[in-house]
Amino acid sequence: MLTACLIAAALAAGVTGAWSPCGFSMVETLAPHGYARRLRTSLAACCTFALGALAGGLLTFGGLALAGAALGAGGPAALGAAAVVAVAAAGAEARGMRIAPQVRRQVPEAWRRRLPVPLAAAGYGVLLGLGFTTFVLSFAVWALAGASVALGDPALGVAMGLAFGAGRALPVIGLAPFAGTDRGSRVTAAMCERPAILLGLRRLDAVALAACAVALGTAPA
Amino acid sequence: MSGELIIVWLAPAAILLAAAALKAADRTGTAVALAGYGVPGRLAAPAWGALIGLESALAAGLAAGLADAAYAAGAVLAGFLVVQVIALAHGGAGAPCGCFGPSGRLSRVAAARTALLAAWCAVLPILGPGPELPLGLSAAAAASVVVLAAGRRSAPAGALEVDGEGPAVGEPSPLAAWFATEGEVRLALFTSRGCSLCAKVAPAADALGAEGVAVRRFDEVEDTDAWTTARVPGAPFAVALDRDGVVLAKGTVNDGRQLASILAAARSRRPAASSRRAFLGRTGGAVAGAAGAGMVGAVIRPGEAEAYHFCGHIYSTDSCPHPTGLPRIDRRGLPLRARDGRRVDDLGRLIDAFGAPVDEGGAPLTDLEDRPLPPAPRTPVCKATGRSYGIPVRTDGAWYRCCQGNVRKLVDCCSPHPRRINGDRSLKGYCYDDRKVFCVMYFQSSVPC
Repeated sequence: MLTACLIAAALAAGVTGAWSPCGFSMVETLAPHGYARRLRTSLAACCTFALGALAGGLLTFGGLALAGAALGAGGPAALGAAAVVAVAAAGAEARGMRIAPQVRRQVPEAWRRRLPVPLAAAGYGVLLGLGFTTFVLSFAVWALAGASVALGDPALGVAMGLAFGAGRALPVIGLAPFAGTDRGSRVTAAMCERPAILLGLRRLDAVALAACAVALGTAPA
Repeated sequence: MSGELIIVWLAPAAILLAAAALKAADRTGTAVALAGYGVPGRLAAPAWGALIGLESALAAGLAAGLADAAYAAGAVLAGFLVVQVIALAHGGAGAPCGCFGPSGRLSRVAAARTALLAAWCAVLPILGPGPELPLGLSAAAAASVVVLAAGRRSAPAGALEVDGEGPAVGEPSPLAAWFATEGEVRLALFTSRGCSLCAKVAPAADALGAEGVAVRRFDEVEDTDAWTTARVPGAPFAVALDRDGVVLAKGTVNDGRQLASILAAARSRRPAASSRRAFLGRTGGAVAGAAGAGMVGAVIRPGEAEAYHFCGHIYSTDSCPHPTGLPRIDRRGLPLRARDGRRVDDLGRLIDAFGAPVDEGGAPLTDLEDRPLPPAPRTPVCKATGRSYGIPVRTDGAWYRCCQGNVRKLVDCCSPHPRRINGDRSLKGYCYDDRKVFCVMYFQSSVPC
């Protein structure tokens, strides 16, 4: 139950990250009409971006879990604290509150001009997958980081990291190949212009976090 | 294994990793330092990469507790020590050290520090076994630290001085009349409400004022005349004047260091201002040279202008002509009124869903006989710009930034034309193929950030 909740929350948090300056920029960058310039390059860049995002997520959450293990986490106090953080984050997500603390940084724009696009995409993927190197669009990222440390379970950290990386990659690689088409433009415009979509996703994050909080609170130490 | 022993092993690993990360964050500074050691410019980039790779690999090895890594680190640091001693013997004291980023200087203390670190690493295996972190994990951690550092881009120390933006350097400016106080150098700072960079620069301006510099702030709304007179491209922008009101330096600034660079440039140029010809010869039109002592460079070449962002965009490129001013567009590139995102036609009138002109309340605009006014065309802003300037244009790439609390898409109107709309040499920006930025537009999203 706890594993499933955390993986679901990580996936949802990753998807929510697409609504960030970097997430939108990635769609533009990897699109065939964008810097990739052709579909084949675009698809290759999507692959490297996804791999980078998975690696980044794995590094962050796997690393945090290892740190937790090294610190001797996993006790009832740690789990309780993680549950409290998850509840607070769920409340903030449900209300669509502005993220704080916010990481006001973006990936380097120049990479897409100076490097082969698939290579730049891999680097972008890593930075987005790391989660805390660019704008954070969900409180779930902070809460899940806390949970990773509190649980101190490297295998679970890796699973959360992969889920988060997959979440960050999916909207981008799902949209980028079609970004130049009418449908792609409409979808991107809807993402930009309809706050209800983002709010809906954040409420989904909230539900997942609430479930995580329950699972954390009832997990055996 | 004791905690003390872990720290004894991890501390030099952290130092080496910090050295690698600081080098990764400042390629130019490291290249300058390497040149001081006799590394030719063409080898600077590979040497920079090799040093980062070597130091981060040694850091990872130490973190994994490898005795071989400790011996190797000792040997490498001993090599660094030899190089430093040779450079010192050749009078290199005070030159950039390149040890920990751009700020360190070559000195006997720096050499002693290297010697200490070399000895420390060499004796680690004798002291006891190191932390047995998996090598893959420590290598991945070291690599991610270096990647993060490489992605970090520090702002240049100098202001951006571009010909055609602001008052002409070396010419008298009416701005002097706005100053109530005299001074050898007077500093005009142009700011705007809602401009977060202005809020960041303002305390630095106040500090300069407290140091005796005559500083006067000009708000975009309250001091429109001064803005127009000075041809300010946008805030924050600073102009330094001498006692006679002659412009000594100017430029776009993003922080206190860059503001101070304007003052440093002005002071370094001031003695030559007595000979206007000599002064203009030094400033040389579009780009002025490096500034006074202590400054890395008081002004930045236009090619480096990407470092200066107006809400994330190349700041020195003007907006595309737009019927209502600021170049806000919808997803199809059609004009929107900046302040509320309502649709406007090519005449700048609000329009309804059918393109008919309406008033603020949405009622149709009518003529004197109460007949509805006919619709006007509504042309994509970039396309209208191309028509207006008689050049081929195309909307190419874009990049999203967080501007005033919302995600904003910054869009370039691109052209093969070699000049930007403001007359300066065009920059690549977000354009594809052989096109470069002619002017800029933006699409405002409702996504908070």
